Amino acid sequence: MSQSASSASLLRWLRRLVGAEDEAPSPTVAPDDELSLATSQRRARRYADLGLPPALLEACSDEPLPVGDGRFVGREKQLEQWQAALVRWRDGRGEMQVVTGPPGSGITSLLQQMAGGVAGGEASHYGALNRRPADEADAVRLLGELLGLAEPRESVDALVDDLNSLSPRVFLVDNGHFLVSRMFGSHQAIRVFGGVMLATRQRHLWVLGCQEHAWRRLVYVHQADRDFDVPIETAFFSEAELGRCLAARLDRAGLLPGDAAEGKEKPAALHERPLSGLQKLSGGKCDLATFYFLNSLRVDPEDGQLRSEPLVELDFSVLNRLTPDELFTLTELAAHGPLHRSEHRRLFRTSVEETWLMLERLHQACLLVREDAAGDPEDDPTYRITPLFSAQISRRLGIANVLY
Amino acid sequence: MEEDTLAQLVDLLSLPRLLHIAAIAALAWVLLHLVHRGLQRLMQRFPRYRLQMGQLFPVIRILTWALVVGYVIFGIVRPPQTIVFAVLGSLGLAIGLAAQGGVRNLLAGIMMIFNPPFRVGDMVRFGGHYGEVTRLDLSVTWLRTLDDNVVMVPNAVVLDNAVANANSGELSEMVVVSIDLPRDVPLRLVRELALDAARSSPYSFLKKPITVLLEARHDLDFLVRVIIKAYVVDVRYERRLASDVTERFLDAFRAVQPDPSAQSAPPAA
Repeated sequence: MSQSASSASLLRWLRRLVGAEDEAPSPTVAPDDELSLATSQRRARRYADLGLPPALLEACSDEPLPVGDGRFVGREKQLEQWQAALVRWRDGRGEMQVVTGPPGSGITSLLQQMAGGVAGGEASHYGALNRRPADEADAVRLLGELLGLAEPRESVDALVDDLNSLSPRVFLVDNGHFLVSRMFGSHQAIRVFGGVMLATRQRHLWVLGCQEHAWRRLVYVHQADRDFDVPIETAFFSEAELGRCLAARLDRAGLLPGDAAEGKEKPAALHERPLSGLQKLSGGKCDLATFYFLNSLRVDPEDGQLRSEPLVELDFSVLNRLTPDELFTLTELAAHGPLHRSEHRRLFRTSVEETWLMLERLHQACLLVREDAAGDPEDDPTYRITPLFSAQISRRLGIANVLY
Repeated sequence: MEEDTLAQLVDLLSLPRLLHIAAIAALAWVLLHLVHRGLQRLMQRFPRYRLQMGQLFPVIRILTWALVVGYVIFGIVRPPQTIVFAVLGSLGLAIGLAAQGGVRNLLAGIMMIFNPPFRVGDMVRFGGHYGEVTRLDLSVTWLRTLDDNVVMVPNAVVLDNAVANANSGELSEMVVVSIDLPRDVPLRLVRELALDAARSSPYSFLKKPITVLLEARHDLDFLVRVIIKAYVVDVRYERRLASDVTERFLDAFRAVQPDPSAQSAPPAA
């Protein structure tokens, strides 16, 4: 950046600080820095327009990584912690583990690797919560479904008896943030889950996957840290880990030479793409770094080779213009996971129209993703924080003192 | 001798010097104004740190004016020692005589800046007023009450009286909600509902404990008073939390209680 550009930017910042200039996005901002660029539809269109190789797009997919996937990197310490927990459990110590970290830090991928890495002959069962239990009976039913029990159980006692009659196994429960909510009755559901885990911990090894803010709330309100072992934490990647993460994806796409794939040489694509820039923009969040990386690639029309262009930072200034009600809505979604429109209405005690307006406004600002339930007669879509932006949104909510 | 001193003083305060002094004072005023606006913007942008930022401005202001006064005396006027001692003597006398009035408030303000009983942004109660401290001036403190009235309290009054500070420099604050119910309510259910109402409010700060107490009372009839003590995530949402918890509790209570009108209705003929 030239000196005059720096001075202009400093002057603009000072003018904004003293209120002489509005917070509106600068007109000099590049047109491809809109947040909507990160929505799945626009991303797909853009990548298609750029002509990026399908193999690269597939390798850079945001989906959780299955067991043994070569793109699973940078979690050696967590897997060591897991192996140590398995040893303790096999030695007869009742164990309950929690895997926690910020959204998008790879909790689900790690849980799937952990489930696949149980090599002592014990069975493992992975289940992901996909809704909030409404009350005690619903929690018993949901837990039974999650653990793959054929018949629903009548009570907590019956469920505990059945589980204690099974051979020892590892139960991995993902999306634990669904357990924590501000709905009436959610505390009964937490008590059911916690009670069943505690009553069967001598026989089975329980692992709960839970996003960091939901886990903190479990600790604050229910002192869950007293029952669980030291958490296995999945932080965002360091610069070196991010380099390995991107190299693994390029390797998967067949875009790395042999030496680079084995880690002996820095990948050519990453020579062109300074890792420090990606690390700075993404904060080590793999999906966001991958997004910035792909967004900067261009196919040279002359030789068909991939070329990289300077990284373009997304403009998150919309986060500074949110009202307190919008901040609280985002906080609930950031702390407790996706919400149905009806759940938002109950939670915030608003009318149908107010809820609809609030959620749609945030959706239009690309801060929320809406998932329409196919064929749902009640038209009750689900809203979740846009996964790519979860770290930026959480940071802003923290600064606004509504997320803790 | 006195005439000499007066002549020296007049000579020292020549027009160019006065203009220079005025320019410096205006510059300091503009600078402080910009710093104040900048801090206000930063406080809006980073609410989590607004109490610390709010505390900065009074210190910056007093230091700036001290520098200005120092520069004016020793950089512009440069009075001889005799004048300095004469002015200091007069000033000391004035402070001594006026200690009951404005100077007293000023001294109290300076003491409060360096040893603050509260900060800008704290929720305090004194002199029968309760509200958020919005500004700490050298001689007065400004409060914004929950009814959106602005109250000005002289600093000397603040220092002379007991001050209740609800959050003491923290952003969270305990909010107490009291609800009276008929005496024959199921107590355990009431307690559970009250806990759930406090936990389920988006404004409650779950990092700190929620307490529910029940108290027997008599007011025309025997009553049960439910006292819910919960922390609000930010003092600015204090009333919102109180109202939200009350609403949630009463709604939940009505949903589980049989309709009282049905109980009191006369039996069908």
